[in-house]
Amino acid sequence: MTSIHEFTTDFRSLLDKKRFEEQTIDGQSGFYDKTEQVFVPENVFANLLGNIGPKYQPSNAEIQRMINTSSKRVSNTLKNTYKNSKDSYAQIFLSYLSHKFLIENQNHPRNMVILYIDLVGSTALTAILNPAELSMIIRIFCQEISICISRYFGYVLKYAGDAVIGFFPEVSTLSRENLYQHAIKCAFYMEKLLDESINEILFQNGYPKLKSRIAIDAGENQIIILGSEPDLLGHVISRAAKIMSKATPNNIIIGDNVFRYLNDSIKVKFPVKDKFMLFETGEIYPIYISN
Amino acid sequence: MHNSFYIELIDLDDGLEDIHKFITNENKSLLIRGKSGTGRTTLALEIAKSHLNKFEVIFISRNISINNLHSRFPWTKEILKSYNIVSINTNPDFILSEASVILNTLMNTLSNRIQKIEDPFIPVKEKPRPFIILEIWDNITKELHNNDIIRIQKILSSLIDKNGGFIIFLTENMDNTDMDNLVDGIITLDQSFYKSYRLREMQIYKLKGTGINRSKIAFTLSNGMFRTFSPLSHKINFDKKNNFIFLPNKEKIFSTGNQRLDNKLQGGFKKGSIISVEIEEEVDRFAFVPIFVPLVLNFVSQSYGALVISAWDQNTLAVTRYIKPFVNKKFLNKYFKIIGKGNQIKKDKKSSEKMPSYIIPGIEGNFINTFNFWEKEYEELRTRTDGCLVTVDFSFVELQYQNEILDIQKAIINFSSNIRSSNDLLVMVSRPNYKSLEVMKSISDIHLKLLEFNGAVMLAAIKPQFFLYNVQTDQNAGYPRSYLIDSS
Repeated sequence: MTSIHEFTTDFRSLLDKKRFEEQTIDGQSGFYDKTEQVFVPENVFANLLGNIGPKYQPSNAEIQRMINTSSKRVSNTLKNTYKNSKDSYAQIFLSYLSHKFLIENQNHPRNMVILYIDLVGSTALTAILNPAELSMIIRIFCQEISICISRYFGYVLKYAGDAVIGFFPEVSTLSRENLYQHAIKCAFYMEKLLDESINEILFQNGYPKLKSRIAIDAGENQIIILGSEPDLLGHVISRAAKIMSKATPNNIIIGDNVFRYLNDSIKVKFPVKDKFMLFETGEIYPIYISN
Repeated sequence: MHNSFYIELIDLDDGLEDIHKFITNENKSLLIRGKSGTGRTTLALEIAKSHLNKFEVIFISRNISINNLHSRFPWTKEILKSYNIVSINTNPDFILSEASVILNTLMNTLSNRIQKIEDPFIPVKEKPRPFIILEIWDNITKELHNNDIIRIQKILSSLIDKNGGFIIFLTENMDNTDMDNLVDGIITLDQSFYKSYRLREMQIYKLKGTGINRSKIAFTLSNGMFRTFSPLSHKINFDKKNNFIFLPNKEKIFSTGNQRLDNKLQGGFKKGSIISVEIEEEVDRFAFVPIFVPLVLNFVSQSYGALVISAWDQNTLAVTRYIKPFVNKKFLNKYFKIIGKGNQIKKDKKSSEKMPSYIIPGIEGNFINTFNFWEKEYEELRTRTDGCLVTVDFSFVELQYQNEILDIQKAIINFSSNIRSSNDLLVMVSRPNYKSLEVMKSISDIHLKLLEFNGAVMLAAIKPQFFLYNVQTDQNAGYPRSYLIDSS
């Protein structure tokens, strides 16, 4: 299995030879993506991976740089969304990385953090935006959230309407505590990203600001292949989805399985304790909510 | 400098508008017929250029490289990616020249079209639809029976339809064939010759579901580009008027006021030369304005005299409205004279407006008296300037003095001789079939002709054969100016 830490320095190892064919077109060397039927020049790949690759414990200055880069991307996407456009290649590639990981690790139970994020009030948005504008905004939201998950050692499992589901698998190069803290930091970074990048640019362009809520839980999941699509099956993924109902806009809610592994400096960010009863098992599960 | 780049900025009426609408109307195929050298490929590429927002151009040709194509048509660099140029060896001995192989190549090209990612963070566009220019249609079909040709055409059409594309077939076969019924549009390109010049013509026979506003359109392939000639616009933009920017006269040459014309005439009109201008019946009088007015303005703006002898049937206002707004009033009063009907100031008792001093009312009487009067005014203007332009339309003079044709012919000779010896410039105008035209032609140094071709106005140098231009009115200069496009 390829360690996710390495992929900015040796991106060739991430490219499946069955899908990516090395080619030179118009004097530019790069890779032909057979599935998408697009040619990605090498410098574009380098730019892509430099912007989506994981950052181990990013400093405040690095976080600010990531926010600034995101603002530029959001602004650019607003200018370059075409009537019949698809996802960005960054999103396509992030999905590829996720599928690649899941397929390589299929049929093995694996401990991982599950992160749910969805837009609050997206139904109200349909009343004030036309379908093209709404889909553009959701596209922007999904792209920025996907990059954010990748930056913090995670993968995007799937998009579900206006929600993104990410997972952060345990890997040998990161301790469980470190991984869980990264997932929590990722959630806080998402809030910052929404506030300082996405909403700022949307507002400047006359669009309404977005609100989100996030739920995080951890535990063992089974990776399975349904048809050709890999997926996760397990108690944790459904529990994470369910505890989301307790989250209010702009809040992060985490399950006890995650909370227990956090250090005190992070625990204090979740001052509200609540509990959630899982109907299937009758289990009372403690949850913690950010302020 | 101003004159050298204005040509690029001019906004021309597009004679391909009907064809563009036809493509936008979701039609699938167009047949362009024309003999070798008539501009089929250039037209196909020109049409494709306007649809790049929806289509990706694929050029299927015989033995052509990207460098070869780009050197023939430098402007195609933006249109054609190297991987969309499919070159097929059409040598009949070559196995790959067989129709089935070519069709296979075409199918592979369609399914392997490549889209390049420039920015990974902006949404990927839908794959553009293929816009195929099939230059080798004749090579594919030449050894096939009619039924096979129809079958191949149907296969291609369904392939194009499946990909939401558009195809242009290029053929040298000028005859009507069964294919005419299968394609959505048909255009024929042709060329004819006038003197030593080439005149090109596009005929639109069929554009399914699209109205054809102009079915015969003149065009040029000058500089490797397909440009249609539109009818001459009579519009002069008086709202955006500017003072005329003159082109300086030289020691032995008067500039025409038009850089392109000057270039073709090796600097302009030689001092002391006689110019005859023949205007065909189909060309209306306005056509002379964008050519003649800059000449007058160029004289007056640099303190040279201009004497215009106006046609007796028209008010001088018909001429002065194109001159007065674009030149300094002092220069106009000092260096410009127009002889003609001077009653354009309405007899309004309250009006204090006087007739401008540059308008000289014509005199009554016979032609000899009138001619003497012209000469007197010319001599008077000549005392104030170093050079003078005189223009007169002799066809109207002939109409006015129908019993004095011989005197008119003599006057043409005498006037020419006088102006030649003074190193001035005489521009005489006439319509065909007037006696004066024959005399003018024989004594002039340069004979120009304004003629009509498929609704467009052309300016031809007949003696000597320097140029054939399409004449357009330049709306951007802020004063009357012609925009001349080479016919080649």
